[in-house]
Amino acid sequence: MERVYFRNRTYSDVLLLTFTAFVIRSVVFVLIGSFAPIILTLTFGSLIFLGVFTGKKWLHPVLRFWALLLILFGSFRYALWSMVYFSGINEVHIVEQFTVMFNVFNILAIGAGWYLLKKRKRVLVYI
Amino acid sequence: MKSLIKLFVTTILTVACSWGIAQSKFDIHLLQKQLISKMSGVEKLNDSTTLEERGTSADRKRAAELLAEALEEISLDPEEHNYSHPNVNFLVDLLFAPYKGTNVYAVIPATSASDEFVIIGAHYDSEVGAPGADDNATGVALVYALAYQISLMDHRARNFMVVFFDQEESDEIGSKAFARKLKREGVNVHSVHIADMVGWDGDGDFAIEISPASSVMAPVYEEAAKDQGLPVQKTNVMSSDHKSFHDVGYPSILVSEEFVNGDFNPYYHSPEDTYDTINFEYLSSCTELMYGVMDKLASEK
Repeated sequence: MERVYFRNRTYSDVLLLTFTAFVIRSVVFVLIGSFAPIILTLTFGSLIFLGVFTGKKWLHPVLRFWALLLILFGSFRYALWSMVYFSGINEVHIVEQFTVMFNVFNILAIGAGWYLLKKRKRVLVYI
Repeated sequence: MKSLIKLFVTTILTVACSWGIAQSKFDIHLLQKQLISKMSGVEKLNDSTTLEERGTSADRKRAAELLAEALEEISLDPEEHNYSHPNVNFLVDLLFAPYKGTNVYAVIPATSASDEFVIIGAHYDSEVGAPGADDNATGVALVYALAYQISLMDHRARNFMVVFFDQEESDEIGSKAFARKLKREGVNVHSVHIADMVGWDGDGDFAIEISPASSVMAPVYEEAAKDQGLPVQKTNVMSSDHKSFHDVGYPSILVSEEFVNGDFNPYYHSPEDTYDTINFEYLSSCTELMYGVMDKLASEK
């Protein structure tokens, strides 16, 4: 059976970190009865896991999709932020999301997504 | 001589009782006025700041602290129910953090063995930018007065729980979280009574609406209203905290000014929802009605 190794340790660390961040976020929602985040996170986790251990060529598209999702996640939240800011919506729950941590998380998500997208082809080794 | 002494003692006792009753009513009225004035930014809080509105999390936190202090002042033991609740749409959970808030509650135990709880509640949050004197400092003041009166009862056949809900203005998130907590803990809930906007009576008819019309508690309210000569109208408003309890199967009822019959506060959800628009006489009659119901629930089993 063909297995995959990451040639670049930083790449696997970034992948693991982004995944862990979303697992933690998803568990918070599971504890209060919402399962949408965990379903999405586990779906991608399973695909990456299967890709690593079966060495299938579709690991590339899965990594690309995960990276794009991270970029979309950050960008979409920024787009919503701009929309709320310029439209004058005063829904407290939404307005109060836009904190320093919101920006830090967004920037990290977009940055990590960009990195994972750019480096994905050069880091994988198939055995 | 004996009859003179008897007459004297009777007179003294009558005067003392009347003064006591009047004093108690006066206190309740005053307590309600003080609470509404503090909640709507008229009177300063203990830390010399004012609470202009109760929409942001910081202001809601201050309001929750005020209510916990108020419950302590009438010798109740307040507890906080801190909760997290998913977003209204599950897809939003992918992007935003969950709702977070605090319900404040206190239990007034039964005087005889009982595992049944009568829940009485009102939301304490307001729309952003609105002082929320009518919506819903009046409901909070009503529940607060009931808490005080119930705690003074000699006999309570059931436990009573007074709750001040957070985030009603955000799809009744606070009461939803509290209903789920009661369900999870297997609390034996007899009935849930919600007061929301009970300080406006434009046409002066003292009419009170109760919702939903099908509530098992409606006949009890009608009977109490009949006893007090108050006009009660049955409607089917489901846009308040009673819906959260109705949805999980608890018998619940809403007491409010006339939403359906058109005599409701025109300033609601606006900066003009202020203390000076409150009809305290109407608030008193709503309080009397609910007290009549609670009195029945406390004495009957």
